[in-house]
Amino acid sequence: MTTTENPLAASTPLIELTGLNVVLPTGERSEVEAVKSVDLVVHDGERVGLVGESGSGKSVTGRSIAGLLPTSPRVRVSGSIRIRGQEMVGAPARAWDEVRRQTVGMIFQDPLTFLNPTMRVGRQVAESIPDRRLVRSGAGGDRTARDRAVFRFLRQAGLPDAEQVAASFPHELSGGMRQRVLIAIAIAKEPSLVLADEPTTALDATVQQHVLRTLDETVAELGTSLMLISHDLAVVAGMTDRVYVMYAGRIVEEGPTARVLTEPRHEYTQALLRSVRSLTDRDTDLYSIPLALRQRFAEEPTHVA
Amino acid sequence: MLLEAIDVSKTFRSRRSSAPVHAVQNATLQARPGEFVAIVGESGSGKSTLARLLLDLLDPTEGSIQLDGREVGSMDRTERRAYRRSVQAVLQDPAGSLNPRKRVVQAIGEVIRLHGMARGPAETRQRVTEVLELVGMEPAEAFMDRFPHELSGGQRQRVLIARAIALDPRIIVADEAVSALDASVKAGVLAVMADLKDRLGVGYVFITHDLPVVQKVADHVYVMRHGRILEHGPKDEIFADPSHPYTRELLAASPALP
Repeated sequence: MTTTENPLAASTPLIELTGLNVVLPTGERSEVEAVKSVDLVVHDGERVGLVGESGSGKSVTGRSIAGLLPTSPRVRVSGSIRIRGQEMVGAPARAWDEVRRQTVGMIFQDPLTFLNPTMRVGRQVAESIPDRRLVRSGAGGDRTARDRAVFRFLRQAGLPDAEQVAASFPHELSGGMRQRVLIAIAIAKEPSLVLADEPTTALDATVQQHVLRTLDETVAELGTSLMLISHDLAVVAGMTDRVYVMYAGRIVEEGPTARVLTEPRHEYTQALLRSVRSLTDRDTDLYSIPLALRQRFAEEPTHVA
Repeated sequence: MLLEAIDVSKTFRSRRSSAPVHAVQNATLQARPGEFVAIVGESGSGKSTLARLLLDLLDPTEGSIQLDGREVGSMDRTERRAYRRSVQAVLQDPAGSLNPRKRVVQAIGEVIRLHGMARGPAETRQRVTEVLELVGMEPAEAFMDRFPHELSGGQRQRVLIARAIALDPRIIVADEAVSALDASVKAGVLAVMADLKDRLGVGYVFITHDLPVVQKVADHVYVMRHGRILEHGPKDEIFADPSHPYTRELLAASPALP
């Protein structure tokens, strides 16, 4: 890996997955190895992309970092998930609560399932502000201090009409505004890592552009790490420094985003980029990854390119 | 053949709220077999309502939908059936358009039978085989007896296209037909659509928010916003020189690879 030149490599990584395997049940008698021996590292302040097609295991990988895998006893996790050096595989639910409270803030694709439809937005943001933040600002944990903090986070997340948004219910907001509310909730915890799983996939292009810019600025301002999970290589291109490419549960390639997207080394990344470019480049024929190639990629245990 | 929307409007009124929603306002559009017409716009622009009007799934509040100068609203039963056969739909969500309890052969065979396009089960099966092969699902036998959940997203979308072309349509109205698919799968389905245009001479009204795709495949582009068609023209003109600021904004917003 290229992390040897990284000055941060010497310190304990924020997130470190080693040989992670996740098996999920798909039916009464069937299961799928959704994640297969994945090694992945996120350092403090780093912006990392995780790209892959649907079914590649990228979301499951993301969820395992936040301890949000399904709770069925049939879900099997092996290998190692270290968060600030602490081993989380087999850790009690309380330890994960602590991780989600302090370390990892998540933003999902569909804000309506994440937001409570019967609660005003302001209260939902307020709930995720830890008391320590209010105390430190010198205002005590009282209600007005909390309100002020809510408005501040909403504004920071690109919602200038914070007072009005805070008084609204989720259904009264547009999709782009809801997604910004999720950003506000995620940053209100002052997490070390913002984990965004397809945060703009459901949005229109112009709205997507605004939300991504907001996310970009907020993460830069707070100096938190970002892990951006997406099927859209172009989205990851503009937002991250380093990228992992997943296929069929495995990581097939890792490297600086610019290098991976311009000089992909793994055959799968090459094929994927070829198909993405074939949709936009004028003088190329539409290219779909042939089935035979897919089968080979899926069967072959690949080493990271 | 010519499919037209002439100065068509659709207003939705809900009983409780006093403000009516003008989903489509004075839209005029033309589509022909062998031509790839794209309607682009963001959510709420009215593009899907326009699609539903073209498909005769909604009645226009004003204006008319015409096929070769004949107004769809004034057609009798037989004519309307013929209209629905020649103007077919492929919608975004293949899971919602396919009955989960019907195998592929039943899903496609049903419409063939209902429209009397084949006599008897053997002929129906033969026709199903043909259309599956036309959309690149070969060998057809391998897919015929599968249920929708046993197919991938791209395969399901191909089944919907196969079902549409089973009725020998002249125009297919495709509403966000490839939007939910991964790039590689999307490219595959679009290639199938382009191939059908060349081989069968079928035309498309392709509704999407995905501009790069439009740039790739469309012949003629309509840009919609707030229920109105802002501008339209041959693809190259629209992309080279968008006259409306909104079109320029849309073009600039699509993220691009380095």
